[in-house]
Amino acid sequence: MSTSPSPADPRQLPSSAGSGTDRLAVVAAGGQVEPEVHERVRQTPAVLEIDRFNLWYGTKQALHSITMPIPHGKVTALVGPSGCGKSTLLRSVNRLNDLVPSVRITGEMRLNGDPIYDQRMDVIELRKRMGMVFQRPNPFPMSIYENVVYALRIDGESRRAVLDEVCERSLRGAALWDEVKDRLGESALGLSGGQQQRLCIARAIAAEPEVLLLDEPCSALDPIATGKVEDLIQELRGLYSVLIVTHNMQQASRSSDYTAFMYLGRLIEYGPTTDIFTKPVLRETEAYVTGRFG
Amino acid sequence: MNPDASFTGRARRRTTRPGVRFGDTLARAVITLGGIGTIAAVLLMGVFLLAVALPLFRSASIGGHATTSLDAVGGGGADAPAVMALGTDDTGEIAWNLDLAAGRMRLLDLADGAVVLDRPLGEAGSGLDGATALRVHPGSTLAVVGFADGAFRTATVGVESTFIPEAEIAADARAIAVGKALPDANGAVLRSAVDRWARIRVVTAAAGEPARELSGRIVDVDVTPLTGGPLVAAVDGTGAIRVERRSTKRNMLTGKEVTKRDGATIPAEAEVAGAAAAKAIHLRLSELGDQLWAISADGRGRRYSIREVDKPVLMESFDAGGGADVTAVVRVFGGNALAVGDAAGVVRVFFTSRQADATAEDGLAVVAAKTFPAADAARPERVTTLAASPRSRLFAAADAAGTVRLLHSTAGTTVLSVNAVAADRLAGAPRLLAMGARETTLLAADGRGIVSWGFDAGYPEISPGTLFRPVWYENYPGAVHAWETTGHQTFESKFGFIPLVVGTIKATLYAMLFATPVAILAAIFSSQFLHPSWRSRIKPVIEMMASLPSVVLGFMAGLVIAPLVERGLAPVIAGFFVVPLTLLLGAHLWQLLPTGARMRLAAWRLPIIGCLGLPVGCLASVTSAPLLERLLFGGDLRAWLDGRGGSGLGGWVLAFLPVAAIAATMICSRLVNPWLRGVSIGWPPRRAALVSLAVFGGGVVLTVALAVAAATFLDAIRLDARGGLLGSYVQRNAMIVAFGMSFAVIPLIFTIADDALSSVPDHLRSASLGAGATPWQTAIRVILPAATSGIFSAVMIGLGRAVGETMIVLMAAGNTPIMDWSLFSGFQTLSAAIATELPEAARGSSHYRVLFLAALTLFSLTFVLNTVAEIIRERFRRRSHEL
Repeated sequence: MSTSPSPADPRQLPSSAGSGTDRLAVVAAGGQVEPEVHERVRQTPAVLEIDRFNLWYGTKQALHSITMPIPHGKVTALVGPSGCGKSTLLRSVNRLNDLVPSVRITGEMRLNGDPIYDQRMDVIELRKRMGMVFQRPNPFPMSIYENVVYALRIDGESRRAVLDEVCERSLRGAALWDEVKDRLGESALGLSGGQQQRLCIARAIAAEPEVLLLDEPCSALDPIATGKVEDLIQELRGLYSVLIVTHNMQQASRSSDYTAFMYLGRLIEYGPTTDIFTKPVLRETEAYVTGRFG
Repeated sequence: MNPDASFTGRARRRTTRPGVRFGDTLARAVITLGGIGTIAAVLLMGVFLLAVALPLFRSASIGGHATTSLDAVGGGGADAPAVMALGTDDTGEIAWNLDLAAGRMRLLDLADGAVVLDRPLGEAGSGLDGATALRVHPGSTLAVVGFADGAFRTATVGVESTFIPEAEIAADARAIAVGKALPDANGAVLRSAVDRWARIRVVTAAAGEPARELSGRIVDVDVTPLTGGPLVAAVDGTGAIRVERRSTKRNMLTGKEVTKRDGATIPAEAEVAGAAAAKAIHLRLSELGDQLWAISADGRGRRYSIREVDKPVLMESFDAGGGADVTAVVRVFGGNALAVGDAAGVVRVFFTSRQADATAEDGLAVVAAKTFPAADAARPERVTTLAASPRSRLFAAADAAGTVRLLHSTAGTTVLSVNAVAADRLAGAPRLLAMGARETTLLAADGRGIVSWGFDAGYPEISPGTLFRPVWYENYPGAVHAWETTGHQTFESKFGFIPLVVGTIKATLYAMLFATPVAILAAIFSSQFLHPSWRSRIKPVIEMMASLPSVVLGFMAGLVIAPLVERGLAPVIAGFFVVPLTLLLGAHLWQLLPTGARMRLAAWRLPIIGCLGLPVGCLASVTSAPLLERLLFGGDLRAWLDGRGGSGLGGWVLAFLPVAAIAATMICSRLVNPWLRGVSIGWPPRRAALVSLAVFGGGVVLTVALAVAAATFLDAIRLDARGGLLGSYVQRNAMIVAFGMSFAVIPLIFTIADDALSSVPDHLRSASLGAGATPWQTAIRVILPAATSGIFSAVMIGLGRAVGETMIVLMAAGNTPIMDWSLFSGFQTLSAAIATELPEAARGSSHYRVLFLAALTLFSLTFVLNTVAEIIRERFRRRSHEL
């Protein structure tokens, strides 16, 4: 952790005083801080609302009262140092954390107004409304075609015409169509890492999800593949509501509309990407996005 | 800087310490040695099995020959062989030759053909003068002699050898060279090749009163020893046959022996009597004395039943010659079969067997089961004489060209062939053959000389043909695969491998059919659905099942489960269908519970459904069994299986139920469920559950309807499962073995399959669940395909265990080497045959070596299975890196 003082911020808020990492020190000591949520975020219509969400792994609390709206039709990036709970938050959105024994939650999340953690919520249906892409490319051990139409297959769709159409649309959407159109029947495991990850994105968008969840989609890829995936995320912008977890500040700044900075399970600052990267409210945020700590 | 000074400032040695080096070398040597030793041990095992089994296929070999000329010793004559007998003593080193034409008894040294003893019969030959026919029962000294005036009588002919105790060896006997013999008053003293002294006593004596019922010159006689006295038969030149049983009783008071003769005379048949009297009739009795065979020279055979010796009944006439004249007949060892040689050089083996088209009143018919073509197909020569071995179904045949062949009546093969006519052998075609008591010597004689060979027949009853192809055994209705190795002394061993191989495959197949689905479903359940803490407890328990001794499992299956199932077969069969149905019904009823209760009990739903559903299912099976029996099996399942009553419908319905269930499930998921999904949006859970229960009920009805439809079709085209997959129920059967074996195989498959399923990377599971798949869809569509190779290898390893499993099949399979695929019949496997029979097989015998061949087969089978499993596992490991 860098200890060098951050440049003086003219719009310093009263709650933040002293060095750029004071709030972080408070958090590290187990104290409460009020997250800095920019007004513009509140004004945009939200596809997903996270409301005072807490999560414990056993006795260890991993998420502390997260409250943030995810804007509709925009790309929202979650940044923060390792272990800050970004991925946990993401996996809580589609209730994948349910599978982990000893997880306990309080608070609420709503997808287009539907309470995600309601007892009557059908988890299977819920997950069908979201697409998820993971850190490592994880195509299924089946053909490229079957990978893309997997979500439809499990829904019992077997009309060839529908499947063909979805397959092409999704692969085009994932900018992979031209590379694989001649070998749709081949095993997806034969693709390169970048292609596999774009295939996973194609698989995620095939079901026309309301939210697309990307969990560090480029962390296992080489720079060229990363570039292609980033280009793809740029193209998805406006078409889908995207929530992306990333370690890479450039990636966040280039491809997202909104950025949330998290630290040790708490939301620290959340605002439009341009604001967060050029004129963050908090010095702590600035320290992190400029790479001086984390 | 000092290069020796390290970064920490401490001086550091630049060489590895000798101790470390030594330890490294030692470890490497021990590990290398251990590895090589393991491989060597496995190889050695294979080599050992091969070394024991391979001699089975060794071809027979014949040694040198020794010739004795009878001209020099003043005997012989063209007709001499008709009243000559040949044999060896028990050591196989001395041959004896009774020559009634010359009235002499000779002992020959088989090593060089030297005449040890040659003396006139004198006193011993009284009552044997003028003999025209002589037959010595092989393997004993019982003989029958016929005379020109129609009389015939029994006699004792041959040699008896006894080893001389060390103390009683005379001084002159001690001086004999090894392998040589010295004549003495009663015969000879032999110093055998193994350096022991034996006394060989010649016995030649007429016994009892001659029978005088026949009037013509006796042309053939036969005798068989029965308890109480010998059975004798003779035929004279007119074709009249006399058969009689002689029993001698000694009066305890007077000491006088009274010979009782019961018998009958069969007058010559018209056509036989009309033929030239010179055409002799061959006469043979069966060993058990229940049949008499008379074969005229032109090939017409008659079979008489002489169960009541004073009332012979003609059972049937048959063709023994195949168009050619019959020239020689011999009773093959065991006494059930006749070998008949004809003028065209062909030898046929005949025996009676039960035939559908039999005309005889006993239902039997004489069949020519084996045919040995002429030695030289281009120039067939008349068969001159035949001789049977006294200890196996080997027999010798000589033809007019002098070729002597050893033939095997079971295998139907020519074991070896040798030429008897040569400058240093015989001058003419052999007229008399004999095989030594130990089946190591072959003797052939014409009127003027005797030639002998030492031979080793190898294992003539074993050949790829007898092991793997159907063989027509004595008294069988046709060629069959049979495994039947032990019986009485003259029993014809049946070394057909196929029933054992079929038994092994059957045990493996049914066990795997039962165990594989159970084990794989259990593995899917434990790896995908079971809470990790439960899994960590349950898995070791199941793995512990694998260490249950198989003898315990066999005991349980054979002595506990088998009687239980036998008593309640119908409920058990019903249970296969009713219990799963009950559990599925339970799952549907669960959905009808109020939402709140369902959510609260969610974690316990499987134990609750299981604990309630299983007993209810069992109860339902028991109560529904009589209904099932009445509807499908005419009221009694066991009677139906025995083929009594009912049509073939019932079996097919049961056989098709699983297939129909799969079909119905597919129809529901393809047609009904998509429609339902569209309609049911917004329905309350209770209504949805009721509708899905109704769909389930419809599916069950559809399943039954499909099965009944398929069964009706098959029944209509006259197919019946009985006789194929189903059959008469015996207590220990394939189903019981499948139950028992599954206890051994399920834990094995379960453990490996569970590991394979668990090792599928979690991100695949997350991806599938994240895409909205249910855990069940994830397991079936993603996890299972990804773990296919691991599961396959699990099944292969289970298969390897099932193939080699011994105790369970030994105790629960009934050990009846029957060859069929019925689920309810017993069988014997290779492993069980080895376990039961090896202790009683004589070391080095055919039986012993065949069992080793079985072991080798089993060894290779498991070796191949495990290798395939290992290769696939290796592929699986490589592929799992890509995931």
